[in-house]
Amino acid sequence: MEKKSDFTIALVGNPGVGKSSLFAKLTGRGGNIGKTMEKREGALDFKGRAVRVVDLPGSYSLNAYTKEEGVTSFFILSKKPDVVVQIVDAQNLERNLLMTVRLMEMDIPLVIAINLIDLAQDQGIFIDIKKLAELLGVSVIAVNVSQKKGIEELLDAALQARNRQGEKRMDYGMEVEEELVKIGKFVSRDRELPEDKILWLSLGILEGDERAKDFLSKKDYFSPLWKMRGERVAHLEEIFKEDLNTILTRIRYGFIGGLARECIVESFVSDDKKNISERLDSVALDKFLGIPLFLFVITAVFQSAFKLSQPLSYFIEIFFSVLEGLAISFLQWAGFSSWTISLVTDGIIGGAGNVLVFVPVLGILFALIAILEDSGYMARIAYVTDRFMHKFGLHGKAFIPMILGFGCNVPGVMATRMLESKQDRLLAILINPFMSCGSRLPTYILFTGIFFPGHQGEIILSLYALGVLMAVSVGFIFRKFIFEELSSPFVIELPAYRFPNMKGVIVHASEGVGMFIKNAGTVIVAFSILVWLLANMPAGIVYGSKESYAGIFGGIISPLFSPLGFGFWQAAVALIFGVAGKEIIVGTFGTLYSGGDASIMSLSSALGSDFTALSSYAFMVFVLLYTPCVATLVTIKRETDSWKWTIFSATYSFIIAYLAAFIIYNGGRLLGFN
Amino acid sequence: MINLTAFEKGDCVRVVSLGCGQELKKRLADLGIFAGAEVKVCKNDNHGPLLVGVFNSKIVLDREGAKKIYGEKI
Repeated sequence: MEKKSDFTIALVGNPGVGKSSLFAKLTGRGGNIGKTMEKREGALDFKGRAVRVVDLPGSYSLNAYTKEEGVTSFFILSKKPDVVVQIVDAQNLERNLLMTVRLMEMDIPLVIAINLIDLAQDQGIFIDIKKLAELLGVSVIAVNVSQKKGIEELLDAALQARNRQGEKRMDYGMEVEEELVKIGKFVSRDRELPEDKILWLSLGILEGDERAKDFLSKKDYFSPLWKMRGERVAHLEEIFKEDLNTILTRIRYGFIGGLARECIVESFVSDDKKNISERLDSVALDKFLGIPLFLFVITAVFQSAFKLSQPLSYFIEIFFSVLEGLAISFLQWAGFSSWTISLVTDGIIGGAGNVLVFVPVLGILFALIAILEDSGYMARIAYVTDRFMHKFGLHGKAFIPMILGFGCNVPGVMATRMLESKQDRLLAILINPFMSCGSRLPTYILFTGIFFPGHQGEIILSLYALGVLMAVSVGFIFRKFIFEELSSPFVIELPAYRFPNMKGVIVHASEGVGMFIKNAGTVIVAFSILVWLLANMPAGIVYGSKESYAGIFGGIISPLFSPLGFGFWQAAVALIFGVAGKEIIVGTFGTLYSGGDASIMSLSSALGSDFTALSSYAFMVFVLLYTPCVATLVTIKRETDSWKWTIFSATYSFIIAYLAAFIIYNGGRLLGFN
Repeated sequence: MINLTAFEKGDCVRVVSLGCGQELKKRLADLGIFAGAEVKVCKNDNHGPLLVGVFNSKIVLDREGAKKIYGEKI
């Protein structure tokens, strides 16, 4: 067997070309549905070699405009993978080749994998792969990721790919090449620069690429270089009578057009296949039907998540009450003290059990959101909601992170990376936590079940709607007073509709649920034990009474919540612990109220005596809007790179929650509700 | 000069110039929209974003963006 060596393959490509599916097929790691936001790593063994595979975020070019695209070029330039594999969509060869041309200038081993050939052929597009490989001077492999074809050949080619030093690259034509030579000569006097970076740097400097500038900005010769660059650019713009950017873009697309003419054979096909997407879009994007359809889809997603999950939740509830009974009998039989029995049943089973009941609804919600994304409908939502969002100073594209926030705010906040301008991004991050995530759902289900039987769906929907309304209104206010006007226009590609990859959807949903369960098994159990201890100490008090530490601690804070209708200590404790994770709120109630019986039934009757319908609604609104959970705050810190905005996010949402709950509770009382 | 929002569904347009900043210009170029490119207006409802066919893909452009793209009908 060959000696094991570390070999790194980096996967790059335009969004939606099947890059992540290839990653999943290569490494056996669950394929992310939708856009990859950060690089992911996996490993495989191929013919006795240990191969590391890095999946980079999908991007249209190597210039970095959005943060997610920055990850791609940064990785290639600084981490120097052994080979870069670009996955190309056969249906859109020309646009995909733009990236190929740029990769060829980076002087790294390159292999092209052409995917979705069958779909292209359905449209009458046939690619002469041999010829393309010849013209580009790189290996080009036809693959079919979903059918696992061509993957072995691809790996063979990848392992054999050599540095492209001195090999073919695109010729920019005499005038531009002359300038490249001049800049190249200038920078190559610097012996510290690696030779294989000279071409990329010369082009980058000529184009004014930020990353190339960063690379050289510390050098003492930077300012004369930059001055010379200015002269050369002016010279080129004088000759071509156009700005440099347009000149280079035209040259590149000109070259690619030539390649395409040589390698693509188009044949006539009947329009039937082509038209499926268009026919669907004639409804989905219609100016009258688009919005109602969107509202219908979203309502259907939530309604079916609740309805489909009910039998499963019921089953889990029974499971836990049986488990609890067994635990009590076993522990009594084994002679454990009543103290230990209470810890296990009230603390652990009461806390975690009440939370795990919500696994089915979350799993279904995650799966349905993944289906929206994978089917291509998510991008249509951006189109449809754009007009509405514009009224609030946001664009339709900002709606996608908001929808993802319905699942969990952490991916929601991360998905704001698809927004181009920093300001738009920050704004979208700040409003994302108002989108009601899956972890807040247990609280709603618990309370609506007690106080609004028969109207659960409507009440929960009203909370989701309030979250969206709050998000866009706050966005509007921020735009008016803190940020400038909508800065960058929005551009997004509409992918063709496709049947969702069900395996991927299931993997995605189970990953989300897995995280939730892992959380329930660790953080929630830990917090449940902590709450249980606080509720059980000091020694000699009645479990969960006002004299316990939890009672004293909650009692100090609870007056703050009196004007909102839930000024009792259990609610205060639940809300404080809820910042660690919103699902802990229900867990805490479970632990504090259980007193020997952890089932939902006893919790219901206990809560029923402390809350009224009105105060429970105020409480749910508060839970919806108040301070984001720690995981979300950590993500906000990472994405904004600013403590200031993180603290701002944590506090302003608390204030808004307080005001909203205050208005609802007191307004409701004035109107005679109870 | 006429910007993209003035064209109707089905019009094939040659882009003549772009009146936007360098950032957006580069992004549009990556998607295949640049001075000299041929695009097709696939949807223009007089309100809301435009749908533009570029190569074999559909691009959504909001009206502000589309107003900065000038072209001529072919």
